[in-house]
Amino acid sequence: MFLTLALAAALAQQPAPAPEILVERRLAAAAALRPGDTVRVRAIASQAAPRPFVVAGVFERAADPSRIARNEYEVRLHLPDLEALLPTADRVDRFAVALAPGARPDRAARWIEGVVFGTRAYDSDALAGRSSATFAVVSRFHDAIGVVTILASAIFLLCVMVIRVDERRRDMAVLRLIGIGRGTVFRAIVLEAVAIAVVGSAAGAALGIVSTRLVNAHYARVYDTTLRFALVTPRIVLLAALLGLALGAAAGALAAWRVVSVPPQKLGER
Amino acid sequence: MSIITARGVTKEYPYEGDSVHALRGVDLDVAAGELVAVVGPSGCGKSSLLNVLAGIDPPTTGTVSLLGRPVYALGERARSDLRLREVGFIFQRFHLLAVLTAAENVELPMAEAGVPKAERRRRARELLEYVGLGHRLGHRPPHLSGGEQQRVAIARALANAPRVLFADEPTGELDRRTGEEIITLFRRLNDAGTTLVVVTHDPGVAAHAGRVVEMADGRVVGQGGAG
Amino acid sequence: MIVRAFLQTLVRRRGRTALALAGIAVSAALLLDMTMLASGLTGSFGEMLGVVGYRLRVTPKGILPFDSEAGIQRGDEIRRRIEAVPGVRAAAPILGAQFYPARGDSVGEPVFTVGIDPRAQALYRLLEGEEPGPGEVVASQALAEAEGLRVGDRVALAADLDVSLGRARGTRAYRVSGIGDFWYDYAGQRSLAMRIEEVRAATRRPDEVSLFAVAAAEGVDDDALARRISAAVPEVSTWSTRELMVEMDRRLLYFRQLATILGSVAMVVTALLVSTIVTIGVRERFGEIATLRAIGVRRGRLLGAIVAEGLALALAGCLLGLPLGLWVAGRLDAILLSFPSIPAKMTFFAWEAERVALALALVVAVGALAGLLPGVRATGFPLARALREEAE
Repeated sequence: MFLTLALAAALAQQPAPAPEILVERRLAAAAALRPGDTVRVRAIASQAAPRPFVVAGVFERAADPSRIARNEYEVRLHLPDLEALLPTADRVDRFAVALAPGARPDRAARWIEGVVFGTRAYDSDALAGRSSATFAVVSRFHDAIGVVTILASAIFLLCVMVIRVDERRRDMAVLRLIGIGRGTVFRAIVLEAVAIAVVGSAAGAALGIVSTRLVNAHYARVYDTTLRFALVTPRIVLLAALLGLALGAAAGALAAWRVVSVPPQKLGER
Repeated sequence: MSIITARGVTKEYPYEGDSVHALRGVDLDVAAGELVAVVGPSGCGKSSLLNVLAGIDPPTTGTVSLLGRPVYALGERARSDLRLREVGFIFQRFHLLAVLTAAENVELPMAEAGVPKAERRRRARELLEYVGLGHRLGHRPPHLSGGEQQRVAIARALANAPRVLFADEPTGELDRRTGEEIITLFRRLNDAGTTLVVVTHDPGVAAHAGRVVEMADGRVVGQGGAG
Repeated sequence: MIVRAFLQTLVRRRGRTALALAGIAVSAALLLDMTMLASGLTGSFGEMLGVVGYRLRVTPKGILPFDSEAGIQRGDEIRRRIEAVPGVRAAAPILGAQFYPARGDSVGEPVFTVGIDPRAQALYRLLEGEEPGPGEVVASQALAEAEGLRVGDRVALAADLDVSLGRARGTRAYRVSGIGDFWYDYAGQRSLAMRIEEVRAATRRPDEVSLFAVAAAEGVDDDALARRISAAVPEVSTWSTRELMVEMDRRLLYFRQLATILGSVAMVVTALLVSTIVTIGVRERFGEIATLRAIGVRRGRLLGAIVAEGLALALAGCLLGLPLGLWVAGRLDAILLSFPSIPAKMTFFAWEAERVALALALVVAVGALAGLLPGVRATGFPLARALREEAE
């Protein structure tokens, strides 16, 4: 019995083992940390002395676009250990609530708000929408830039087609004068424009795929992230191809109309 | 005294790994005040010879002297100046600037030579009246007939009072009657002292020349007075 | 005359010249917008930081202003030490908190509240009324409109919520002493300012400060002063406007790089467009160019006329592109300003005359150069061959 008491007293005097902490890969690389290392941690908000933690492991943080600009390091602690570091005890920022099958999220949210004064409860979908507000703005910005570049491309395409057709006014004049109909000339020009648009769209798609890879590789390096900043999907390729074809056909039709609407004897004039 | 001298002039053009011999050792002298017609079948080197004599196309071998100066020993700028101030060139297809009026086309070489605006306008009007187009000063080339365009081209060639005129098939694009009008104009110029070298298919032009130089296969094969 | 002849061709070919001008205008507008975007937000942010002369920020160690809930303890002592540093004109303490408009037992949406020293504050400009005394608040315009507040009104505010009892805690009535234009609020933000000691008392954070805004004496360099403050008060972080802008730059890297990429694309499109127009124009006038050389016009003059054509297109396109670019910048700015929590007074697209002039000058230069290559080729072509080909 005496031995048991002595052992208990000896054990009671030994310091408690340091709690564990997980560090993310980038922090581990920057601070040369490995599992088993001891780190001293304190919260900036607190004036307490730093406490030792043992690195239990290294994790890869999930790619989160909402954090990409600030890109701070992340560590994970057990909740009680984190609470112990902070000046205010027994505090959380939020709860994630799983509902029983069949429960309605909106009703549950209102009930929680009624029961827990001063809180706001959100359906995950609604919350995702709210927290995606930044990316919705970026998306609208990209759309606006896209409209401007499409406009510039359309004008450029039209300009090139008009000039190309203008260059061959005399050839067009000869064709019309020897009896080739306006419709045939019109269709030939439109087909040429569509052919240019097809080749251009294919080249553009290839360029887009290459550029996407370069952009993603660049930002993966800059931000040290697995996030993909640009995506080329079949839908995007199809949309771009259809747009290119439509613009090409429109440009060709406009250029062709300019030519076929002029009497052939006037076409040869400079 | 020769105003144009060509010695041992050859001209070769590369073509599909081989050469086309446009001129094969041409010697030619043109005296001041002559009207020389250069005749021969198509492809005999007439236009090539004209271009070489006028300082437009350097010969492969040989020398050309124009107004006492070795043309191809001069730099590009000096040759341009020579063509601008001393030489006039009339092309078969007129080569007028469609955006300019007849008067402006004639003013162009004078503007390049630094002639003041009032002076060059006056002279352009005079030259166009000389060639019978005093009533078409403000018309642009697309609104002129072939003969009228060629007369504007002649007026332009005369803009800086050149001592030598070169003309490459000047009546080639014109009907017979208009061609005769052009020939008459050339006679007037020659009578006034201008030296002319005219490449032509047209026997009518050759008939008015003081000397006819006959070419075949890149060589001068005969020279003589007009028939 | 040669130059005039070449430029007249542009006028004659009205349709395609108009198209080319439209294309160049859109490209120039895009380049203008990207130039304005590249420096806009950072520049705008920098201007805002120093808007009332407080150009430095002092924050808890290692964090940026309001980046976390951490605060500076012993705030009054820290303030004295900062103000003792040579070159400091004033240090304005700021303490952030969240108050709730109390209506009986219920509360309204939280209101961002700052505790300030009315004698030295850097957060708002009074529009009406006066600085807050004890028991008084200055409300933002958005809050005043939302709650129907006017100067002299009383408003009940709670600093805390009792979750267990389901009601506000520490509710107190305050008098609205003024309505202010808060510099850093986002559009529609509801904000309040009151004396810092009142926020400390209500939130039970005695002697805490979230950050200081520091004003330098006249003629004092910000970076040098920041270093002196850091040396004198090492337990905090000191940021000059330049350093904060560097940090903002880093966070906005994506937009700056996007601006660079799109700006470069715009330049390439301009170059291609002008080059295409001039090349085809030169091809059409191949014979004319050869004729002009044959009659004695120098190569240099002809080249100059061809380059002038490209230059004229680019210049005219830029003049059209300028108002278009400004209009598009306004629309894009409106889109980007809808980012959550962006101060309403900031702008993503800032007009910096020098940079804009440089960008447009580049477009004009590119236009001139784009005409150079086709011009060199056309005027360098063997003359006799050119005449012969034209005759065929």
